[in-house]
Amino acid sequence: MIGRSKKPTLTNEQALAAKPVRLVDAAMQPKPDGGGTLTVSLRPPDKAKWLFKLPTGTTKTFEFDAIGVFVWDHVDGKTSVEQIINRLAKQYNLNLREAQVPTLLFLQTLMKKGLVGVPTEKD
Amino acid sequence: MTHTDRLIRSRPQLLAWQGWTLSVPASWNPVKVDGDSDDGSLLLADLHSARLGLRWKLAGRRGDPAAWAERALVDEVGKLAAAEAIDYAMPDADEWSVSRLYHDPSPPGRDVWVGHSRRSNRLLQIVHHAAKRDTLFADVLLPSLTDTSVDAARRWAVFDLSFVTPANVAVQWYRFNAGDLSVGLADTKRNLTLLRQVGPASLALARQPLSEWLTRLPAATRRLYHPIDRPEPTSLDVDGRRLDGLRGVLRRKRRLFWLRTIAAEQTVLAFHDPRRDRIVIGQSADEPMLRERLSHVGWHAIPDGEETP
Repeated sequence: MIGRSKKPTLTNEQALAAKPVRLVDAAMQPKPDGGGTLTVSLRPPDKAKWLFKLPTGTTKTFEFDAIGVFVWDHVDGKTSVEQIINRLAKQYNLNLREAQVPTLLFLQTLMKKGLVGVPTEKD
Repeated sequence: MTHTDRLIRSRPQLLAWQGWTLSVPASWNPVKVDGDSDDGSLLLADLHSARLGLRWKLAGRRGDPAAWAERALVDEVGKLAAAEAIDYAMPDADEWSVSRLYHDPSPPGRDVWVGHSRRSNRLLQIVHHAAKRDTLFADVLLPSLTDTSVDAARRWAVFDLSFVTPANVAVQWYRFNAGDLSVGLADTKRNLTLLRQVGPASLALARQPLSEWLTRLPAATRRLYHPIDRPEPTSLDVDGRRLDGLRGVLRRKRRLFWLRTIAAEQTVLAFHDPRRDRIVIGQSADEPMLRERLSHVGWHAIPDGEETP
């Protein structure tokens, strides 16, 4: 599309080797069922601050299940996606493929929500 | 320690599908499953790339298996390479009328084995994507390959789901979602049985109780049957253990009385297997048969030394 820069795409190898990092500084509040809630403060988008005025202190809460908390705990910028998958499979006695699919989808969701990022070589 | 040694030591998992059984490294999993017992294919991959492809086809009565094997090899690797294929001695030589193996001399490349099983009269082709030269394919994978006759009970093991079917029962459909695996079995009288395995149970049961797993039915079933109103406790004996669970009865909607092909009543059973950390759910019009099928779910997870069904 004109005027829109193309987002960089990752190969399978790059995606597995990537070490995702957290983009928000918020603590996970544990829930009794093993899950947790993450409350992050919202800020208006950089380009149209005048249009989207948010009251100060506005927050958004994300609910995680136990697997989500496990993945979130391992998103530390040091652990690769492949290591997260292997650890998840070991923790819950899952098949590697069964661990790979939800982990990748979950990380993609976190990236879309702006909670997690993957450093590129330029960074 | 070579790559092969490492894979052997890492306790391979058993893959059983449409009568074939094969021991593969635990990190290899199906990513594509196609076809039925007569004609189908299966692709296994690890986290990084495709590793093994299986393709099978029922041989014609008049066809020459040796000629087919040669043709399949030529199609896969080309005429010159096919001429370098050798006869490969399978452990159970009587089972295979043809067994030809081509090793790629300069990996990365493809090792190809083609064979014809006398038990099921099927032609099988296995392609191994060899990253480097090792003896995994010839020394570990191929010797573990076995076939089952069409007239015999079949074992199935794919991902974490394993079950046994009698001779006249076929897998009609399957749905493999991460953590939620289900198959539909149909016999020659079109009696349908649904087997479903959800795991890990510790997470699934934290999300909703077993009664919810029992009563939350697929849309296709909800269209035909009233919801289960009163689940009752039940149990199932599985290799010396007693699994606790719930039983519910589905009753066909009254306005569908004219649909004679749809059973008037179906039993739904849900059990929690704490040792395997899985929930097993079954649905069928024939409860004794359903209990028998459910008792075999998870046979491949039975530890060494214990008797398998």
